[in-house]
Amino acid sequence: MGEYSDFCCWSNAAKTGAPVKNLTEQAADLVPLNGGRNRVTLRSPSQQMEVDLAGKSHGGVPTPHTKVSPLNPRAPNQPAFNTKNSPVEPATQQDIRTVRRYLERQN
Amino acid sequence: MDKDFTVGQANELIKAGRIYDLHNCFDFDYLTILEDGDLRLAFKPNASHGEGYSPLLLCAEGVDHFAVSPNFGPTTAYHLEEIGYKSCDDEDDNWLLSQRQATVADDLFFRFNDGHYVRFRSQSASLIETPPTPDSPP
Repeated sequence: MGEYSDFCCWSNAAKTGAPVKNLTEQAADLVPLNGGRNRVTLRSPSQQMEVDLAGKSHGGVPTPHTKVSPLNPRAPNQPAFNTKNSPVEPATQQDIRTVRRYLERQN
Repeated sequence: MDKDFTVGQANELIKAGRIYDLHNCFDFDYLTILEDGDLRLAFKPNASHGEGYSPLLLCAEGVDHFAVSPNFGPTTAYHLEEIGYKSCDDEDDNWLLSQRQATVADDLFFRFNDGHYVRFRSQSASLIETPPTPDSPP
């Protein structure tokens, strides 16, 4: 599904002649939409996803990157997420798409 | 703790409406413990991503609880992972309290790479922009 969506994106861009941007450029373009902040924090009932759109590399992973942390239902203060050992992963096209949709709804 | 800043998202400190993205735009510089027990925690703008920022000094005065991770070197090149709060009697640092969840009695908690941390509670804490150094980004 992700690959198909990516193909559609590329295909439409090719049709319109618009330049195809890589993930780094797409993510950087979202920073102004996020009030100039580099990070977007998204939460669901079971986890938290922190997306750094721009900024320093972490754990050898350049931005954009994500960190997904599970809910800790036993913590006395809710919501609480176990962020200590959550890995930093490169952001995917779907991650950037999710952030874009979220920011578009906020603005 | 009486502070002139708040924690925003876990990567940010906010003072007077200005957001300091310590995780993405700054490098940890040093930790100093003064003779009277006060703390200074310094961050400098990252050479590539810190444009427009000045070096920052977090000054904690009247410290009544302070802890660092074992073997924490005060000038080692650590990378700040996140900022939050922790009850001073809670050693489970897998999760942190957010600004909204914290109380004035909680420690301010700075998590660095490889499980390292600095945590403290003080009577007051202030965030100060210091003059740029010659090697600071423009």
